[in-house]
Amino acid sequence: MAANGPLARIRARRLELAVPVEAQLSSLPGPLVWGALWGGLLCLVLVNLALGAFDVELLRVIGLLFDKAGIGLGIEYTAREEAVVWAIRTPRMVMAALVGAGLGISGAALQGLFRNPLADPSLIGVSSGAAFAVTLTVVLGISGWGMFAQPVAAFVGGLTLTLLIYAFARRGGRAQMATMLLAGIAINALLGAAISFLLSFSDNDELRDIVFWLLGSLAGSVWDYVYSAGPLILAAVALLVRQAGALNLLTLGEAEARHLGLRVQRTQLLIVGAAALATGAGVAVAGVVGFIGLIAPHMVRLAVGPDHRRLMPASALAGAILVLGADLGARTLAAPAEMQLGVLTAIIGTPVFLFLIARARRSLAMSG
Amino acid sequence: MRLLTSRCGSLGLPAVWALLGAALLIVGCGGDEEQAVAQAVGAQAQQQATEQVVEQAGESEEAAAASQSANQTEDEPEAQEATGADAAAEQGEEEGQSADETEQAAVQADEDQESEEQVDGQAQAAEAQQSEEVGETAGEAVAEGTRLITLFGDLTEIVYALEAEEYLVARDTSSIYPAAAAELPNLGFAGALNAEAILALTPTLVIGRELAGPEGVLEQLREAGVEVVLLDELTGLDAPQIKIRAIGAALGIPQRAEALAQDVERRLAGVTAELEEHERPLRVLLLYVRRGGIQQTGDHARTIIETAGGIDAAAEAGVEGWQALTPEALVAIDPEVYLVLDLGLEVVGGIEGLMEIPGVAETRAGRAQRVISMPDLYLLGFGPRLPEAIADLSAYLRAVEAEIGSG
Repeated sequence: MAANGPLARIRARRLELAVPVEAQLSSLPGPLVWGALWGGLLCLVLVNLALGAFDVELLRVIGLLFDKAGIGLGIEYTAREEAVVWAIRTPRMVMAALVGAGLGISGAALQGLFRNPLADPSLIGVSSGAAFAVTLTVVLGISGWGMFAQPVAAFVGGLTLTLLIYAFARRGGRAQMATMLLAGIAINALLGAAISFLLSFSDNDELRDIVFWLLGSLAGSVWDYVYSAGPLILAAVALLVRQAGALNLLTLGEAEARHLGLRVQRTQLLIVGAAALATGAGVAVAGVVGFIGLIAPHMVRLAVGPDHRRLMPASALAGAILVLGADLGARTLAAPAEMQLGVLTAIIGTPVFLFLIARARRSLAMSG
Repeated sequence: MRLLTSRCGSLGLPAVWALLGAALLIVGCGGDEEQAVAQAVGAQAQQQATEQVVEQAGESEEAAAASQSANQTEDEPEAQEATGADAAAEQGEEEGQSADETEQAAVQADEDQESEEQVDGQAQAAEAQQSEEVGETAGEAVAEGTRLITLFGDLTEIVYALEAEEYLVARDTSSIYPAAAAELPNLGFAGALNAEAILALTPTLVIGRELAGPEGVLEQLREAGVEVVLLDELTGLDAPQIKIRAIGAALGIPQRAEALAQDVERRLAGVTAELEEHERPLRVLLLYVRRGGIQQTGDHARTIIETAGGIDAAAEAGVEGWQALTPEALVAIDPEVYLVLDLGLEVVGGIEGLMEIPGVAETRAGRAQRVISMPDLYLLGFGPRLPEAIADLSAYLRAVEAEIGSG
């Protein structure tokens, strides 16, 4: 691929905002990083399957999962245990991993696209569009499609708003990423106000319903959600991973990337669209899960460096790990009640983020 | 720098949500609301002790009368109504006096003392009635091994009224009446349930309202073989009976439920029959007060105020449904009496706190400090105590009318 030339130049020049200088200073050996990420993911998957408010022996969990995979181990379990592990824990675990991966990789892609380390998926309007649409359905009492009313509203609302913002930034022919970023912030503020306005018409229970949704929750994850949102998220993740080389070029600047032969407009639209798809499908089933898109890329950037070809898959893994960890807390800490995912991602995310910032500043000071 | 400021903008939304949510969680998880009520009561309880005694006497008589009527034929209600009306008239007078004595015209009902004792009276009456009915409903019982979860306080209350509480294994955070219900494991807010934790309690039946959720959790419960029954949101006077019959059907005790429903209906008829005597209906505004804001509440409020012989001042002024009220809108509605919920009054710091909310003190109700406070679930739950709630409200309104008339 022709990307090698420009990539070498990126590394040599170390010039772009998208890559904090400090991030380039430390880069752990590859196998160690990938081993830790995949190992961490696997651990959390197993812990999520094994633990819960309903007590199921670990051996039975294993036997049950093997049965489902078509390998009979001859371990007995009750129908209720099967319902808990297979109909509740497993789809929820899969959903957590998918939503986290989608948010993580979208965050990494958008930070690269906007060349701004503070970007996250909420910036392109997906989350606020989805939140507004869901609030509207709750306040207006629309529940026509049963359990799919909210997810469909969220998905359509999120994607519509992203397209609107993109169309606005594209006025005059060429999409301006800086315009898109600012428009996204403005529209977020507007929709935040609109949601607050709608909330003033909702009664006590509706208000709680919406606020809980806005804080995110995987409590309602059923296989149907996995089947409908899962493929969308996976497709978006695959699409974004393929755009890693292009994102590396874009870190040079739009003009330079164009001179290097990149079809900038098309790439930008692809990345925005894929990020909106991954986030929108996640928001649709899990509500607004904050922080993951922002911090997952920062967490792994210290370890894998700025190259998007490594950063993006690593961000997806880190996002999945974070959401799996947070959801484990959400469903066990307050049992028999449910805690809100957004509360836990913030509780986990903020200290991690602050620690990373502090460490980066220290290493910058030492090297400077 | 530019980047930083722009980031703050987009962080604003999630941050606000997070704060909102954290606040809700604190309220929700710490929501053993009866304690708050118990405290709210303390200060005013003594002042009104005399008043309450009178009321309780009046009301338990009434309740007993109403329950007795359950066993009588349809020919006799007129006589009953007459005595009921007399009792209420007396009660109204006495209340008027005591309200004058306490100077502050605020009439406060309190859940844990008054209404509980009052309901004890009813419960006894109901027991007596049911023991007589055992003959007819002997063949009927909740299936052995039923493990029941009720979501939302009114439904839990109905299960207790049906004496099926032994089958309850958990409740949501709003189920705080009767006091024993609060001892059950708390599943949190009924709109944000945890499927696995619920299954860990091995329920066989979950009864809730449309707002229970999320949908996926209900779906998982159904898949795991738990029967999930969702009732509609009801705001009419027939709400208690409909809910009672639905719960009775779900529990397999339709006859017992029918008896209770008819009892409620009769008490309701007894209560409503006497309500036409309000000579000068007051314009009442039900305020849902919370720190930092007030709302007027929707259809429940309208039903109960109008039935109790008041005028829903908000509906009259064209304000419908749940709406945040601006101070000016409040002044424009200019109600003669405020009706608030005990918990809300507690949160804003009693009547003094209520009057400090902009606009509240600037209405006729505010200037005369006329506030009626009633327990949340009692007033707006639309459960088996609805007739008594209406009778109470009507009596309070009469007391205020008398006070206005004398002053």
